[in-house]
Amino acid sequence: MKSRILLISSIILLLLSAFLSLVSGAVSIPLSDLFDAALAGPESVAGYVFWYSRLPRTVACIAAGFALSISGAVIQSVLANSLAAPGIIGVNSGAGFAVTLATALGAVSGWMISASAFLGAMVTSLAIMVISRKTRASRTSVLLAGVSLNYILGAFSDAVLSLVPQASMTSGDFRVGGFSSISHVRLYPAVIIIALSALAVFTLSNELEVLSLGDDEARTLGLDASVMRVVFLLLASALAGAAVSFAGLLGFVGLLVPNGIRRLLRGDNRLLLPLSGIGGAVLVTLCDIASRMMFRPYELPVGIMLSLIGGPVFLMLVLKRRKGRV
Amino acid sequence: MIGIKNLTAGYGDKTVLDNVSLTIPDSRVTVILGPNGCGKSTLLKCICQIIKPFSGTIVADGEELSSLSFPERAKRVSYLAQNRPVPDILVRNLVLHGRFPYLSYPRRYRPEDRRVVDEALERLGLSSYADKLVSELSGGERQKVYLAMSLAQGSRTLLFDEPTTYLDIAHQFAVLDEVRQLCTEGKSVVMVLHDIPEALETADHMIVLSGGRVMKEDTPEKVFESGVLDEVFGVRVERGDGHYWCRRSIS
Repeated sequence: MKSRILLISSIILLLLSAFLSLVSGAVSIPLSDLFDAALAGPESVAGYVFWYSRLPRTVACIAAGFALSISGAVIQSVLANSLAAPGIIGVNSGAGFAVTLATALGAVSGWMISASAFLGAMVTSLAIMVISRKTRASRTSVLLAGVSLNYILGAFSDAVLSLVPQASMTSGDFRVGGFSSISHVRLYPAVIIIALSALAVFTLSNELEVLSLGDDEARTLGLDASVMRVVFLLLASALAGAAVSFAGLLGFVGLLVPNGIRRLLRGDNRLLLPLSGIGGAVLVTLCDIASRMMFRPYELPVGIMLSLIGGPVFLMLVLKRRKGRV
Repeated sequence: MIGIKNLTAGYGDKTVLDNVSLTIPDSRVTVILGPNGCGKSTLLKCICQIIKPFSGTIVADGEELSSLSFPERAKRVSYLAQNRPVPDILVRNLVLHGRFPYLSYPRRYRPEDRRVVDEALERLGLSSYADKLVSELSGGERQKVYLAMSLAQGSRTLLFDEPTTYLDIAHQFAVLDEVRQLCTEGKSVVMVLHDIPEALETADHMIVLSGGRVMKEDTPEKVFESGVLDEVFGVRVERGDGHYWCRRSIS
């Protein structure tokens, strides 16, 4: 019951923030004109702003927050570590490096960018798994291996960017993540990948929870833990990779939102995945609105805003939990 | 009945169990005894297929366990690990996952699964804990929750790795009474225990392991009389009035 209320209120919150995102920006479109602008199509100035800037940007915020948070929730469950997230174990940097490399080599099509992001994310998570298999490492070592990969791949990206400056995705937002120069070509293929992967993850939520009980428990209950871990890491990579392909290295949201939602749900994790997704979408959308409006007409990359707003909130959660435990 | 023939198993290139053959009878409490590192846990993990043996066969009621799929095996054998991470999950939801092997994709628990879970919780006196977090419970309560999950799994054979370790004496007795009760209902229970007197007094059938080999497989009385326990553990096991106790060996 409580979870149903949470789900409904989070959906309302999402609709509200999506609406707010559609009406706010450097050019102000009065509320009364918004419908007309949307209906008029891209011919009018307001219509152009709506169809080519506001709408894709709002979709991008929602999709990126949704994908990265779900990816974070999945990775945290699979590695049984609340510190794990796509931005921390190198999945994002893997996607980022692949996108940078592809752009440096001259790729322009949206599908090519999305595919390389997915490939980069996937190769990274497979590498993490192979390392952990080879050394029969504990989950902590897996996390540490991921963190090292994160640095290595980040260095590769920076090297490519230094050598081929035009490879930086038309803006400097990539490294912190941002939506100021969102493009249709990159957005829509990624959104399709996100929708499909999220759907797959949602149907596997029981498997995910069984896997999070520990490998031995999962096998006892009839779940092939090794196979399922690969499946989940692939899906998490697809989600994170797709988000990175258009949003850049938006790291924090994948760590912050699932942890927050877990605290909220207090052990009843059936809605963890959908609520994380929606929560992430709301957070990124609101932060993006703030980054657009605060220094209008200039804007901050949303990654900065996310860290500024999300950081203290996360800190508060950690401290509150500490208090609750004592 | 589970028959194990020529089982050799281990981790990486380290052999822990060396050519082990033994039988686990139906509707009995089988207790595995042995010093630390003798391969007790490895044996249980082989039976429930958590680890793949290097060689040998494990046959349950005529079926070779390694030829079964994961869920099919889970319907026949359940396993309670010695240590496990403590998950952030509600008691009811955890026990519900005992029904996991009975569902096919996309796994959604059915009313009959919930009924089985309610029965298991009630049986172990956990009904009032159903909506608590597993991480908030004491060690004894948590052990009961996992026991409930094993019951919900509904398998004929239950493997418990040191189910009484870390529990106070009252909880130890409660767990062992439950085990006895399960056997009268037709379940076969295989337990690893560390307490020799407790093992001798609980078991119907006893297996003594040492250094990865079966030293003795028999009833508790015969195992006691053979003196193999004194030899393997380096202590003196004594009996009187139907009770057993251990002394330091005099050497």
